[in-house]
Amino acid sequence: MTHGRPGVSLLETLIALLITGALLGFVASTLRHQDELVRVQAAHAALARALRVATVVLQGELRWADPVHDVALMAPDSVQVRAVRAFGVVCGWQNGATFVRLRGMRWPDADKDSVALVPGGRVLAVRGATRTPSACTHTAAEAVFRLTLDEPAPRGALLVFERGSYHLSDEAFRYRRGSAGRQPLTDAVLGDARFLAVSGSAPWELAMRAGPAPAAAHVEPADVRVVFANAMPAFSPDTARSP
Amino acid sequence: MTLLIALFLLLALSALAAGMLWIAGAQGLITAAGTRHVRLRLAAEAAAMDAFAAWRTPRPGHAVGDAWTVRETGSPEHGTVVWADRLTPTLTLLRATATGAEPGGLTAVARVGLLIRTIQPEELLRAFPGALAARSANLGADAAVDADSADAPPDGWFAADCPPQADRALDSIFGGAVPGVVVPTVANLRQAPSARVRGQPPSLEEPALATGRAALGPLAWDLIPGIADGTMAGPPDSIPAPAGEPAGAPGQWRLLYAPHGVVMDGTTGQGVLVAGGDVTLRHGARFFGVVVTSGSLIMRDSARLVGAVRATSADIAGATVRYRACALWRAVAGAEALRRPFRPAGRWWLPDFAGPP
Repeated sequence: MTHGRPGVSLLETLIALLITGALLGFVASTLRHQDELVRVQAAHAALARALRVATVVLQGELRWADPVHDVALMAPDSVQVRAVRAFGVVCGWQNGATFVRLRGMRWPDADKDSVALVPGGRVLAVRGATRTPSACTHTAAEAVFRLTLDEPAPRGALLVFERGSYHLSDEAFRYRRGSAGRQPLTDAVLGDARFLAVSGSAPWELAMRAGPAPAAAHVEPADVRVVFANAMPAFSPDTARSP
Repeated sequence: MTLLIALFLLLALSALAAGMLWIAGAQGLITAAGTRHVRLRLAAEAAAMDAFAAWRTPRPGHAVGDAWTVRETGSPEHGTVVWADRLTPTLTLLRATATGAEPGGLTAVARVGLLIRTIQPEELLRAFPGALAARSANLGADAAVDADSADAPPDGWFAADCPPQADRALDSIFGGAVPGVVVPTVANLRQAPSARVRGQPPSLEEPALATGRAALGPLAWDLIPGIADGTMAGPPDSIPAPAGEPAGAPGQWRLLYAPHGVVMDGTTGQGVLVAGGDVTLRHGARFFGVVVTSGSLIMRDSARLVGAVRATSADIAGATVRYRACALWRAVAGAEALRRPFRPAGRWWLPDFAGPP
């Protein structure tokens, strides 16, 4: 009678190793797929975030712009705009200067701003801007400025604006004020991004199409569209034609 | 060992699922905030458009430089407010603000400005430089064109029917002296011996009338069909006699458009009449207000026109045109179509801001 040592046979060991290997392979495959899923999800989120920023910026800048005078599609990768920074109502004049009740996201700067007269749209450069609180009656939401312009502004309103351009370069959405550098407004996550003029010759709409950066090529591209409120057909005493 | 691997796998999958849920949740919150932002902006735009649609001119008591509240809906925390800021006599800025609640007790605000163009009665009065303005005028026997006493109420009207603004406009436009007949050159005015022309001066040369296109003041011709209070389509017919004559009930002053012209045969009418053909008044017909025609004005048989007229040509015999600022003012200030605002040329939507930064 023979007694073998208790334990596992070679066959049993091989089977156990095979099962463990298969299980580890499955785990590795699952983790790899999950990693891929996370990367796609992150690319989606990054693209969505960049598009959201572009939407908010372009909507805020262009929704109420005059598409004829305020916007110029320079190239598929850049759009030049008059970026409105304050709105004012003319409230007086003195020695060639114009007093204006202003509200805005910042105050006029003689180094970089111009004003567009409303109505009419004539553009005058700002040569000087001084805050003069007591010059005109104004509300708490306004500040009064003494503006030295190329010539006194007539009664009416004016828009204080700076010239700037939006760019799609180096996989990011960027803003450039005047001739300064292009500052990124989003992360570098945009691939194959370009501006498109919609509606042919009538500038009703501006679109920006952007896909993900090449590293996440299988994320679908998306559009940002801005409809110009001022592009609605005119029906006015000043523009209608006589027979 | 296998159990450990399985547990590790479950843990990793759970962590990944939780991470993705968190990302999706954050994206959902951001999207909802974006949706609320767009809704607020649209609410502000809709409030401005609503105020625009309801606007009627003139608005007494609101001078240039004045600002006032036009409409409010909802509450200060959740609603819209529209203010008017009168920039010039003819331009007013409507400033709309929409406010909405945000999570965490916060408040979101969207603002927009809408510039509107209004028609002032003075603008329209300026379009009538005399009792009769035409490229050519033929005043036959017993015709009368009278611009004297331009500030007097029309016959049968009371002083209370005439607003003081009419006299003020008369003074500011003409200095109180209104010409009778205005033609490009006096050679275009033919006058029978028994015809009477009165005014200061009786006749005036205005070369621009030779080339000027038919219009109603600042309103170009092709705008009229779209805004008229009433259109008299079909063959020329008599315009209906309004109730409340002579001063007229408020609703009876209208802008009437007659694309093919009008024949008033012994009837009475009032308002602003714009005709694309001849305007004929005969058999004692009377009209109070203003007439603009791209055709001829033909008056016969004791017909009377009280107000002013602008025509391509005029042929008047045995009838009277009498300038009365009161009738003009009542017609142009009372016509519903001329009280509505318009979109100004170019930009009319403007960004608006909260206040000093």
